[in-house]
Amino acid sequence: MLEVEPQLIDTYVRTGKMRIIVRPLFQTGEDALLAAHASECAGEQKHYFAMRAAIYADQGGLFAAESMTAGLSQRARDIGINGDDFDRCMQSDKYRLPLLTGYTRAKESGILSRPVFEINGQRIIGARQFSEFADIIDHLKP
Amino acid sequence: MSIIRIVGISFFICLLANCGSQSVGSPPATPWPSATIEPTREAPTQTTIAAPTPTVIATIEPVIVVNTDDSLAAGLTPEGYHVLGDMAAPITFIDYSDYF
Repeated sequence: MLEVEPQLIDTYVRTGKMRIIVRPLFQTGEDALLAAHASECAGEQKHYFAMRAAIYADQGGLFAAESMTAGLSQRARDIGINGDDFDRCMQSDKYRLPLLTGYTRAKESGILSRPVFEINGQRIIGARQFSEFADIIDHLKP
Repeated sequence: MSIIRIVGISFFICLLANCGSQSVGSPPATPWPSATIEPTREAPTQTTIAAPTPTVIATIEPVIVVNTDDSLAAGLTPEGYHVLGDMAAPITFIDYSDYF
């Protein structure tokens, strides 16, 4: 799916035809929640999507890090985020509750597996090739 | 009774007496095994092998954003979810996924 994302962005987002909304899930537990929290903290410095991409790009490295928190802190610095501000944000844990609330809402709306996508309300369960997304999106285009 | 007959009978009696004394009381060369002792081996416990459950391989399928450039608009929905792209775009793609 990592190959699909740039194609979706280049074809539909960059052209103004589509916007992508991120709804993180935490089915894999605390590490996923920490990673989502890190993205939120990066978002305070306008680097939400960059941090998200950095996490996805180095999942193995994060697991190999001394601690997940330390690994996330390093990734934040790697992409140019102010590390001290980032660390303070992480220590505050202030996004934990909103993230968990969002997760609960997703589950309440029937999101019980991952990944799940909704394209203008049409729910797609499971990963898809770019061409499959394109078939759906192209039929929606005005 | 002739001397020869007496001697013969005496020899026969003596012979009988000797055979009897040999057969009684002499232990067998090898002790008779009272029982065959097999090496004790615990009966194998019944191992229940559960039917293999289908392994659900979690597909780590992040959908969003490998590019990190700043050329795309980014913001938040009213509910606080992050958005990439034009907020007024006609198509909304929502990605529900896990980080790991």
